[in-house]
Amino acid sequence: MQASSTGQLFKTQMGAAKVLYAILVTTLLLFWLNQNSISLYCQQKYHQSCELPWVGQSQAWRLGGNLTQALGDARSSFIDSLERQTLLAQAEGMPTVELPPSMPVVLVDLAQPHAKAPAPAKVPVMAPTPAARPTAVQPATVPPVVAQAPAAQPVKVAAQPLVPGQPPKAVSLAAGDEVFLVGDSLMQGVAPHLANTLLKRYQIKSVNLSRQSTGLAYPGFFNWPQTVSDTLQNHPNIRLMVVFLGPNDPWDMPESKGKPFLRFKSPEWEALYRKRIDRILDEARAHNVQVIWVGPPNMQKPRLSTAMAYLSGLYESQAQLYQQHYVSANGVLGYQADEFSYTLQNSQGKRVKTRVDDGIHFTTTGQKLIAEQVLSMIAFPGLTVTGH
Amino acid sequence: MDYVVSFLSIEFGLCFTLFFAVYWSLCWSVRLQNVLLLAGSYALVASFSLDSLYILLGYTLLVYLLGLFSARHPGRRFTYLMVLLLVLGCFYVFKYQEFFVGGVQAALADLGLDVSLPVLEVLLPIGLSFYTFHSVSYLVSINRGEMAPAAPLDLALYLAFFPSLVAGPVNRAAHMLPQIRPAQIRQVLEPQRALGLIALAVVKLFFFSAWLGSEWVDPVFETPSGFSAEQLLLSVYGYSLLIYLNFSGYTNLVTGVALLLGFRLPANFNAPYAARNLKEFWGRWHISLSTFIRDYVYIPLGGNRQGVWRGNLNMLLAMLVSGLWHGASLNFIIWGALHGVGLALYKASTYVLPQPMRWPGADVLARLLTFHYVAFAWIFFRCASLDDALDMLGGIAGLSLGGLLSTTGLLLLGCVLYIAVYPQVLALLRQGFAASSRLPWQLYPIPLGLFVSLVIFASQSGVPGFIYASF
Repeated sequence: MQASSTGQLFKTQMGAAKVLYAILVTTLLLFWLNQNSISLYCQQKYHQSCELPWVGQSQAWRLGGNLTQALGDARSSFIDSLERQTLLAQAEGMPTVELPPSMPVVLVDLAQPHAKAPAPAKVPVMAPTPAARPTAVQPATVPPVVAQAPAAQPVKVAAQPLVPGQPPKAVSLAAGDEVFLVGDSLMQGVAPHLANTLLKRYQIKSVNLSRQSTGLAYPGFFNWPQTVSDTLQNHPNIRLMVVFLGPNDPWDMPESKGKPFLRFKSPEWEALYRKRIDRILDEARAHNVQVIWVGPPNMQKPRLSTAMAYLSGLYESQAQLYQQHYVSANGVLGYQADEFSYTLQNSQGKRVKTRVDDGIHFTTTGQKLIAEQVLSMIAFPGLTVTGH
Repeated sequence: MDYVVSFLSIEFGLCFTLFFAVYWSLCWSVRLQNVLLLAGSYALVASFSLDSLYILLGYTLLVYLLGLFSARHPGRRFTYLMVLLLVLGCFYVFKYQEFFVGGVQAALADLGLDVSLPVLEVLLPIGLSFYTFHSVSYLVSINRGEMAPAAPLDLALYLAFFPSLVAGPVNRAAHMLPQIRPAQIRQVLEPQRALGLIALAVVKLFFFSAWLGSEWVDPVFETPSGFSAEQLLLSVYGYSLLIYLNFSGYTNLVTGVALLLGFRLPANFNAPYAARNLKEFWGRWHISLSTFIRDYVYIPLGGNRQGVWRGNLNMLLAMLVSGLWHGASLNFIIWGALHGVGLALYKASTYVLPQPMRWPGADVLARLLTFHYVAFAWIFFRCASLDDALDMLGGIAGLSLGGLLSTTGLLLLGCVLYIAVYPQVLALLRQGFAASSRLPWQLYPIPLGLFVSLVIFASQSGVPGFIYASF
């Protein structure tokens, strides 16, 4: 019995050792080849650069990352080239290139003499009457850098107080306009309700690129300013952008790849973060797009909640600077100051649940409330309401 | 922000490697291994939330006491009643309170009564849906005199065993407890198959279901009114494939992990879309759940022993229970009812069309019909509300021949063809998988690591959430 069980024990341990060998080799191979995406993941999740202590900078270790990088580059250039060829082939098939008729015209020249799309500006096409969207005109008169003087802003805000319940029609949309939805998992919950209502009631299409775990702190993981720029370029009909993000951002972040991390709320951090907000707002202005920036609501965890209040301040002040529109989700959910509640007393006096158990995300009711708040800020002059 | 405990994460991988080394260095003592497993399982639950851990501990204590009681008074109706009370009580408090209270209040409001029923604000503890089922099989087995009550630690591990805690498979006490207290020391089981299963899970989850989700399914289900009838149909096909790949991939993963720890979990999937009828489908889809529902709901209700009508009614009830178990909403109930009705229809059809049908093409047609019925039911499973599901169906009703002559039409044809030749594809895949397991073990990790890297390279970034983990 004793001898056989010793033999058995040895057999078991050998078996386990073989598997451990297999697991270790596979893991090593996976880390070697995927080191770039793992380090981005680490940065985004743990908010620090996780470089391996000794091997991290060695040539042999870097080779694995470089291999994958080169393979990725090859794939992108392959796809780019293929798309270019397809476009060329299509262009040859068409004798004349027609300009899209619904390009906004008047404002581009004023705002950016060096605008990227000069062609449409010279064509006086039949754009919807500028009177239909007065707010779109204003940003054009304020250059981004000189606009630091805050004196004029309070007047504007006071003129359009964002009181939940009696919202002013802050922005306007006309037939053929599109709406661009930007944000993280909070937005992922709200966006479908917005998009559905816009389409069903007003036949207005939306571009929903909201994606979980994204924000402005880690552009290496997901670069919103760049995405906004590309999307506005490719969808010239976008006239409104709704932005709703924040909870992934209250952490230390690097200024750029390989640079040391800036401390959250430090002046350098704030300056960098404001710059990223500005990049989005700049893109909006360049493409004559109105912006509704939704501030994240209070959270169940106090640390996250105060961080949201801080970030909301940044969103609000930058939005005001660009004379765009800001609305806080706190008002929608009935939160005063820094309070948090899972529920809201509705108009019939019943308590309805608006937040899910994680204390961050919304229930369907909460999502719909926020979507309605955003919708209530949009005027649809000349559009007939259908159905529902 | 992702709060779902994910077994397919870098953190879990690293922790598991360490755990694996310690676990097998203790292989001389099953008892110590069990303590380690239990500690690991509780740590996992606690990482989700401490409340979940307290509830699991409390539940384990109740089940232990009830087990002792059942052993002393076996076969009594009273003990069965207590088990039922425990399980239904837990499900009600943690899972269905809001749904039922909301429903009852709405019904009373229709009658002109404005009543506000109390609702306790609690969060759904992780794994509750599964460990309650595990406890049922344990308590019923004791009550039937098939086994003696387990030692407290063994029972605790049986209920908390981490690979099957979060999203199954549904274990049986008679199958699992002997593995917790084995006669000999444990071995790593089928190591190469185990690692292969984990790699297969990466392919199914990282690559296929994430891609299907973001390209074909999610955007369409979120705003159905913005898409053409053909695109809607494609998203339904896409979701049918996605939910299979996602859930079976998850099962592959936990089966692999359990094998590496020396445990064999029950089979859960066997190529469900190769089924020629609904009955066969339920013998191939989430097998551990459907056999559980059969043994602990359908048969106790009377099964098919009390005539055709009663048999069909029992089946419908069993499927409704299954539907409701998946989630507290009307749509899940409709999903269950559709399967119950479908099973009855199939049964009725066998009187007219004796099985098996031998005429040429019968096999392919039967599989396509079954797939489409299952896909139809998935619409209700996936949509957030009944209105959304009806929107989807209304949209699909607008299918036209002209619309089918498009790229989307080609993709639809591709899906149908894929289901048609699925058994052949499957045979090929299984051969490939078996061949990979025959590689010498010294070399095996290299192609494995390269293969997984290639899959990750081809995938979009981001770890997919497991559909069932949120239930």
